[in-house]
Amino acid sequence: MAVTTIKVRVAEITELTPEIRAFDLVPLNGTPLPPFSPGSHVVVHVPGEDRVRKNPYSLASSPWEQDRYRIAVRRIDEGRGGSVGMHERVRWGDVIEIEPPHNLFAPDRAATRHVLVAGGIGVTPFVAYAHALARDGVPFELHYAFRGPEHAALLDDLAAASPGALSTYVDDDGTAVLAGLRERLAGQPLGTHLSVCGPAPMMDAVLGLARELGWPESRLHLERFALDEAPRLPFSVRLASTDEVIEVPAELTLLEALEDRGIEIPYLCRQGICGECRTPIVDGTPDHRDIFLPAEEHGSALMPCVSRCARGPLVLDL
Amino acid sequence: MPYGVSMEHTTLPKDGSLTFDPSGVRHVVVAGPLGPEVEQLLADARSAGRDVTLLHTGTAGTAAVLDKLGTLLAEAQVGVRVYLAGDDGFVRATAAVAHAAGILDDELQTAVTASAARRVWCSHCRTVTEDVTTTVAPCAGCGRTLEVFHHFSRRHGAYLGFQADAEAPGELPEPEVAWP
Repeated sequence: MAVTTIKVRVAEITELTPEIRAFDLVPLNGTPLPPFSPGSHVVVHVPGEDRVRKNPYSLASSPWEQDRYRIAVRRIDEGRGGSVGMHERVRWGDVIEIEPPHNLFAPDRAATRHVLVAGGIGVTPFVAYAHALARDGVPFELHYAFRGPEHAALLDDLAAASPGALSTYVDDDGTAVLAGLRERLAGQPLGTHLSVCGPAPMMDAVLGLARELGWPESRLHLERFALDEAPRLPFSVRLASTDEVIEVPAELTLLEALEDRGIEIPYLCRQGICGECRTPIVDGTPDHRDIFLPAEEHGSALMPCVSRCARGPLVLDL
Repeated sequence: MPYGVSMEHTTLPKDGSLTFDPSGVRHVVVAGPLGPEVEQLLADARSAGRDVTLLHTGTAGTAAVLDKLGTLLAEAQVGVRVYLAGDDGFVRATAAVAHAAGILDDELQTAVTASAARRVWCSHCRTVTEDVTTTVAPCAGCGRTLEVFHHFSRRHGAYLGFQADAEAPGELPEPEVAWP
């Protein structure tokens, strides 16, 4: 099953902060882009030196705007190259390919009020949230923490979409936003849901505070963007059906290595969250790096988008 | 369960016993009326040093309790836990009020401590008939003979009832006492 892609032109590149660039993507020939739900991402085919990287980025624009998508990309030099490719190789006027939007972080439709908490680049999905909630007349408040004033991204977009709902915090370690949130989370009417997107330690602290104040799990929502910082070593896998051995070099994921061999595995997020690329194994011990697979399946399957090999030989049931 | 309903996936109410939930910061107990189950819950809350708001039908009628619960939850904040105990009709009616106020499943515990008689919503005249103990029963509103179906509305806090001989007029199934 070949993935359908949409060709878009890079209409604008905006330097938002020293590390974050916004890319405005417009359709070719005026064909409208698909509308999307707030929290959606697109997988961008990022041109690279030797290969295309497929990275998911949240759509940071209005869900009804069909003549422009905006994504914001933070450059991570120690990453696997996707964000650096976006910063260094993608130029104004370029035509690049994206995959249609998918949503793994949709707002709860039954909520009568939302508290949104963002840290750093984690603010991107909340631009679309702000547009959608404002249009639907669902009250919300957005708390946005960044390391310093020069690191604040998308403030204009957010202020335009959510007048009066935005509180900002200059915060290195989460103390300021937590102090501000304590009072806010202690006084929310029933029907309120809390959604958090940001660095893992910050999300854990915010959710911990909410739990301490009596928030049940069903009101808590988070979007992890997996910054997989564990070292990656090369390994190999064998396919059970053909005995073919596939080498996975350090700089590739298992999913990419399989794709390079022409083996198409369905995927949505490519970062160990959605579960779409779950692949059964018949032997070996994976190094599970996803947050999807339940522990009881750790011996029988793996998520090739992020997981690697702990003890071989790793044999895939493919 | 009739018609082979999957208990894992059904929306039919799942009752249990009441256990004090220390993750909540405010606790509302609604009893119709007080009984040993509720007394135990209150004792557990007290020994945990937590305040409990208690509404019960010992001092006020069911309608007044429903009213009071609605007002209380309209002003409540996230962090509240609600515990409901009584006969099935009372628990379902109070749960409907709690859900309407925005209470979610993990903030709510229910225990049926008395009669399992059902509230049945008539799909023809929309009257809720209380205290239905038989699988086939007359509607308190329009008088039709209703078959009580295994479909539950959280919003109405009632089971669906429809005319028992709708398909074959005059052919009424034998009523069985199912919810004494």
